[in-house]
Amino acid sequence: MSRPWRGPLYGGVVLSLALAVAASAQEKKPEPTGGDCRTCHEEKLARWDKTYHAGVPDGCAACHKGGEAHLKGRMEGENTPGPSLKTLPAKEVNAVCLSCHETTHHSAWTGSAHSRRGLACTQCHSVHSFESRTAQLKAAKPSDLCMGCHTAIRAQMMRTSHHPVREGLMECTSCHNPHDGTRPKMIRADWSNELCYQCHTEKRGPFLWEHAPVRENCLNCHNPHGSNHDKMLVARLPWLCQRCHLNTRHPGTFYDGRVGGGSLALSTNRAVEHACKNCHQNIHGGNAPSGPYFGR
Amino acid sequence: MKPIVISFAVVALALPAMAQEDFNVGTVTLGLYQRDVNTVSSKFFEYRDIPNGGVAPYFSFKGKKGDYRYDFFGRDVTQKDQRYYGRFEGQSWRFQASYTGIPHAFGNAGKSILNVVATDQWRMSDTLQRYFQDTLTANRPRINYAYLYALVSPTLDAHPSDIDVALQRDRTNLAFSLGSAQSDFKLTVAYFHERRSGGRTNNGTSFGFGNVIETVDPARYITQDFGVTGSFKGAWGTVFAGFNYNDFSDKYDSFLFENPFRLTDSTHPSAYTGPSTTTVDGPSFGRTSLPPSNSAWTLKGGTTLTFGPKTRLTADAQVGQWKQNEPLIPFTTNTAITLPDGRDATSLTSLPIRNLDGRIDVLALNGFFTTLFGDDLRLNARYRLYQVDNKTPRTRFEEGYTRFDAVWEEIPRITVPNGFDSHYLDVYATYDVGSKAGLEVGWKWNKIAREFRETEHTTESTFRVAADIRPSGGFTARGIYEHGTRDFDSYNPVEAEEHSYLDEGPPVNQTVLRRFDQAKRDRDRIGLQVQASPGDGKFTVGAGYFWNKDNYDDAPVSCNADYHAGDVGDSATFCSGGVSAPLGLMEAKYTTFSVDAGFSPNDKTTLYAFYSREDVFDYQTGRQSGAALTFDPAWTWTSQVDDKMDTIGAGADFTLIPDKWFLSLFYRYQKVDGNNAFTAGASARPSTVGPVENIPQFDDTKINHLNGNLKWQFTGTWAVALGGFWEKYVYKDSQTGQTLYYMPASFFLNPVNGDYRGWVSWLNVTYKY
Repeated sequence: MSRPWRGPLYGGVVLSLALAVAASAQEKKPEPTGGDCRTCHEEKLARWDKTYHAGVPDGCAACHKGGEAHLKGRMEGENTPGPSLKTLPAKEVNAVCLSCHETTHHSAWTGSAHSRRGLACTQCHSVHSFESRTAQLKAAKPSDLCMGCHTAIRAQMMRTSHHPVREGLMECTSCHNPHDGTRPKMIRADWSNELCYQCHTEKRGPFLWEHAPVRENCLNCHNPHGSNHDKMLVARLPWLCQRCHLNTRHPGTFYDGRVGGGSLALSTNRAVEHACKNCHQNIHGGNAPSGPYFGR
Repeated sequence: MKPIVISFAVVALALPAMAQEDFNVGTVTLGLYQRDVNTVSSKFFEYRDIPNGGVAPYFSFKGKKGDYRYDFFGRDVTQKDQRYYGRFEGQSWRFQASYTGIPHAFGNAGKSILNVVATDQWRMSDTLQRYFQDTLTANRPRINYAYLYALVSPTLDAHPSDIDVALQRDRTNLAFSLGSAQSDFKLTVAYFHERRSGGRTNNGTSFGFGNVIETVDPARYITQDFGVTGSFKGAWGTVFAGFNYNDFSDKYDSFLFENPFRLTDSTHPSAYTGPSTTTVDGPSFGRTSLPPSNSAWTLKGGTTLTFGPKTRLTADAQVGQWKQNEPLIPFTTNTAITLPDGRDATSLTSLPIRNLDGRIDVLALNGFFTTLFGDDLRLNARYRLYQVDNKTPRTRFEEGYTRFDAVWEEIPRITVPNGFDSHYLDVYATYDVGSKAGLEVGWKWNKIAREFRETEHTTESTFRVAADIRPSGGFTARGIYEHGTRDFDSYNPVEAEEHSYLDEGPPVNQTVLRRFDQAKRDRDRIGLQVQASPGDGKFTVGAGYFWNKDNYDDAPVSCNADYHAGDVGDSATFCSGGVSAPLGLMEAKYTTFSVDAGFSPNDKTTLYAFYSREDVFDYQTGRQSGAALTFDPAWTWTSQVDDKMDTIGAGADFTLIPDKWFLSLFYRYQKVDGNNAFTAGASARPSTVGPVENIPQFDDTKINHLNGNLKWQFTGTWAVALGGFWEKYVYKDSQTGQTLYYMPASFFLNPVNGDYRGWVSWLNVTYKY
């Protein structure tokens, strides 16, 4: 049921309370945990102050080792470089981050594909200058970061049949864990089908009549990153089906254009519109006793 | 869900009354949107909701008070694509909740000759069905497409084009966790709920070759998932365990659709070809099964053991079971059909079983070992086992089944519960040449053992070498080369086909057709990527090239026709000479080149642009057969699909006046040129019909998108933004571009999801504190 008044009501309540709080709340500046760093790097710490990292013991020194030399040099008027992680090789940067973050879904980072390619945590994450709402990423959305390197995937995602990543309703991280080193293609499941079933649960079955390549791997027929064919299929129907099915009579007979004078446009229903699925609609498996060909 | 999140926001904001806040920030954006789209095409709204009028695009509240933190944000409030996220936590616990709405618009303004009387029933008036049945019975010799078109057109034309095919997902996640970031022990309890309602296209409900009635596949699904996960971290590593229970519920078990041409049930040996000059028989309505409700549980556990800073051993296991036990629907709706022994085919009592009792046991084992020798040489080994053990009992249909509710097929069948095991081993070494370069060599091995398929097992062996170069000056280059070879133990297509038949018989599928998921194959992959950010890093440029080729063994194959030597034929009958050219997918190639550039001359300007070119090439062969398989190459056809894609994007972000005026612009364009070069042998097409044409318009698409946003921060807390986007989409395709509501042997819905041109403008006001 449509209740158009709900949104404005909730929004109005929240906005009113927010304004009241803003007017009355005494914002208390947190106790500086940056120590002397804040004297010169106040701007860097402005956003950091509101993150979990601000509560880490030792403050800046927890990640930036050797700051004392930099501070001493500066006080003596020398241009002693600071302990920036930008000057460190990826392995050393990652060692800093993993000293705390090698838990749960980061525990398999060592040896993962991204690790092997020499990626540093700081290539995607920023402790001080993050743009995202969660995970402190350098871009507003995870996909903006991923597609900076995975340019082929970026192009596939722009195709007409796609998952709603560019609409912001899914992310690369909906299916992949970029820190993982144990699962194939870093997916968040032990097998591609299990990942797909998380959203497409109606395909899990089991079914009375199984379709073997479907049971084995959704990727036999679909490209989850996008396709110019309907339903993200890797090939157009009927040619996709004909990679495995060339039975007697049809499915091969529709190229003769028996109906419609040789034009596929007015040809038999085995070639146009949804082709094979015009009749074989339960192609992922069916539960009808009269459905050995997935037509019921 | 929405009230829960907003209630938490209210509670959190009330906290200042309870204790001193450490910080408290928030943003609220309200706006006015205006949109205009030039067509009824659903494509513009495929995954988004863009209202006309007042909107609440964004809100966010975040703060810390003592040991408590909260974080809430929401987007597109009250819209179909609204999203909310909330987190409220103390020192050692956290509660998270999220809600996401995902609209799917598949097509608008479809039309059917049937009436949508319920979500699971599409019907026609008895009067009309009687009229069509009597007319066709009296005029059977005249039946052809033109005659039928003239018969149904008045009814079709009178029906409104008001069938919008759309689906809405509403998903909620709740999670409660014990343990902080520093805790050694963590426990999370999570609950997921998703409701899907609406329908999908591609529902080919059919009465046979002569009578397809496209309908909408109804979806009234509820998916729920409950999970518990715990982990413990020590100096030796981490260990975790978890349990999940997932339940999928479908409100409807079947879908009913009426036959426009039959009021009463009848049957005929070739009723599934009606209506035609041969027969006008068939059922008065059909019923198809819908996805059955199912459930699954999963138990998992694992550990990562740390042996000093250089060595890790990760191992985990997962066991689970998928179950489905929904009642089956009868053989048919057609009261004129009986089983060979006279039993009523519409009665559930005639079925060999009433419920499937389906179950699949799943096992996953993962192991990963990595160790560093010295500072630079790392050795790694990974093993995975994934096992799908389909324990669903095989069901025997001794008497046969019905075909499209039209006729009984006395062909005894048996169900085939497919399963498989996949073993995967990956060993590789990486060597770092200081910090400037890295080298990797590795070998992968994958064996898949299958039940009831053409091969017992396939084995693929892949070698790879990769290198990274990272000299100073912001330059990085990466390259990878892989070569893999897949082979099978033996290929028995006739035996595989027979698994679903209770009686032996001649094969009906080409025995020289190799299934591409099991065929012998050489797979080669080359990848090259360079990125450079010279000098002060203001300018960055990158380029990538990837080439992937799957070459399927095209050596001649045995016709394998002697499987029933003496019973159903022999090589002389099926395959003179004993060998034949193979059929199926021969080659699949994917090539892509991309270039990216970015320029930030100062902190006020960022410019970026990218271009990608993709080439998808697939080559496959097939063959037409009549009533019996033919091995005559004159009946062979070939298909060469060559799709070319160009993608361009560019953008600019300007700080026109620091802290005051901001401008962002973005443009993207993609053109997909699909082509299917088709050839058919002389026998594959009747000479009276002529050659089958090549297909130049083969899912061709073009999309242009331009957007801009000008923001004025006129005080420290208030900002206003004026912006908008323009989008144009074009779709061309030979197989769907000329679809009519009634075409030879088919009623198509023809919902509109093609070309559109639209623009959206907005005025947003943001308050930030």
